Amino acid sequence: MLSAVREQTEGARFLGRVVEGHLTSPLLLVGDEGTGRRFSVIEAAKDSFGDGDPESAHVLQIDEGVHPDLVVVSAGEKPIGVDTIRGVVDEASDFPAYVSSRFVIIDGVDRMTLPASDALLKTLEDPPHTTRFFLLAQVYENVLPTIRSRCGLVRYRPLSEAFIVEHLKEIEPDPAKALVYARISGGSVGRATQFQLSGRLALRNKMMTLLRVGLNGDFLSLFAAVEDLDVDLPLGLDFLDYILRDLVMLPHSASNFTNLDVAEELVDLRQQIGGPRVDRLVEGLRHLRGRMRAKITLPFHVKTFLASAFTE
Amino acid sequence: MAGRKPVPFIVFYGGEDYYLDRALEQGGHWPKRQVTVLDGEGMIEEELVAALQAQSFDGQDRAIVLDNAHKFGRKGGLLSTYVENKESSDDRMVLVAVVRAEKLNPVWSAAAKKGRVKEYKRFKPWEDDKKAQRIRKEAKALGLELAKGLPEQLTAALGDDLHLIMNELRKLVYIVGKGGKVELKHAASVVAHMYPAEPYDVSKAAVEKRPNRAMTLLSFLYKHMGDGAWVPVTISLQRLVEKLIVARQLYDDKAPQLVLARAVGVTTDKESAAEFVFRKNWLGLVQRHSLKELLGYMQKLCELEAQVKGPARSKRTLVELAVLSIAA
Repeated sequence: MLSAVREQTEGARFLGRVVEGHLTSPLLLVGDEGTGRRFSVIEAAKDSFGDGDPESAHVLQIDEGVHPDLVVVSAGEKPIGVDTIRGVVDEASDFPAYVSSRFVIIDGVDRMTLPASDALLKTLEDPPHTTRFFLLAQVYENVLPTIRSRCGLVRYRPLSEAFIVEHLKEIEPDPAKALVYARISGGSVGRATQFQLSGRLALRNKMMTLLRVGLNGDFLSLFAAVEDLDVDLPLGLDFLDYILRDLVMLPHSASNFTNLDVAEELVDLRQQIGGPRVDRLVEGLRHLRGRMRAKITLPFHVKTFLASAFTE
Repeated sequence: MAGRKPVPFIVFYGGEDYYLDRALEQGGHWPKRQVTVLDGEGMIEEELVAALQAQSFDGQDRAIVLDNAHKFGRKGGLLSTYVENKESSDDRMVLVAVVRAEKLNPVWSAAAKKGRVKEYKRFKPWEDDKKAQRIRKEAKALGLELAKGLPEQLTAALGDDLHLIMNELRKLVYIVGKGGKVELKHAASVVAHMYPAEPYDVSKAAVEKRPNRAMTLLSFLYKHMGDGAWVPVTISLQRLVEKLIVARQLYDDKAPQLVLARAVGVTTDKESAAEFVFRKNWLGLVQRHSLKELLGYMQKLCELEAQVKGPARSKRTLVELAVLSIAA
């Protein structure tokens, strides 16, 4: 039910108007993954299909993922293709099975092929009166301008730390760690949960070890440690970013830490690395991020960045 | 091929196309079998398995010689099941698979276990000794004796392509006759003057501080590969410089030569051989550059890679400048 949607007031307001039948045009919900875009549309569908009754058969079917009038299409590893969209368009032109208005969620319109976007355009311009379209995107600029202009824009803001910590309570017993997950999630409850379930703090710890190896000045071990990160390297750099931010913040405000659970180790690390080298690392990482747009050989660049930062 | 005891599978694999082509040619010679030669390129697994399960009209045993066998190998697919169910002793159908890949996938590994397997490894660009040894062996098979240093000269002139080298050796049989000794002058009379350069050759010349050779090789490479050469050259330089920086640090720390050899990737089992290879191929390079210089190269190469993979203009000049800055 829409009342279950918290924090995202703008989204809840717009979806409420759809449920009430005052808004029929397609909506473009833009926000980071895990900020509740899909969740809120599904809750709106429950309200709309079940007429506000949480015990209704429609709600049960939606929960089971088998309601014929709630169509969900998502981009997986590959972008959404034209065939998928043609299927959605065909389905949208039919009458709904049980309810007055069918809900169609297309999750990943910013990762749709050009032919797929073109195939959707005409339907969005003049949507069937029995279908409501909800297009979900993470990057607004990546959505085709002609699609953007046909939809009402609804922004989903990053969720608050308190909300994410509250959500993580059930799976993370350590409140300090829960706060760390909340802080590194960038306001996405989905990402925080994913990090917790996959034990991503181990990767953060690996990045701290990498800095210690760098301190030893032994290139052989340093390069091997970078190679060892393998496919986790891009995410590892995100963690390194948080670690470096903490190392910068240490002398100024210890309360604004991200990695609260390893605060003592960070104090120790900061002492060993020293302020000027921390600055060099921050600068080096900033440069590296700038270059990452060009599909570089990341391990070599990371090795160079670390080797340069740790060489006097 | 037909001389040995037949087994249900004979698998050839590796990166050396010359030997794989030869295996493919020889694979077709089975005097008492009906032989079918198939190409895995553009063929589907169902067709292959149907061909493997078909019987000859006259009850004669069969052999299928399959080129580009690496195109198959779907786990749980029809071929996988066929291999799994085939008895090692059942040789009424022999499948000769030419897998053009450095490693065997699980299906071909399973087939190899039930039959025979032979790897034709492509040597790394720096494994000059092994390449020379192989050329001598092939020349000997043709009845030629090569003068000292000639295999190296042939590789320098013709590159790593064993097809090209074998063509020249066949010509040399006519020049010096079977059992004759090939001198440099004989080779010079048949070998066309060209430098088929590889990206590694350019980077090696650069770190050897041979700017003229590096630039010549780079222009040959450009002729051969066009603008597609810049990224491989950059990556090759990166790999070489990375190895050198590790080796140089170990060298400065007075680490044993064996450690240095392993650090640059010399994989020879015998310790003394590894040390020898290191001394011969790497030590000079390691001594030629300081750690600071190498670190500077790494940074330059990072910048270069971002430029050649990005929208920079005059990429050729950028690569030339980077090669020269290392070689000069």
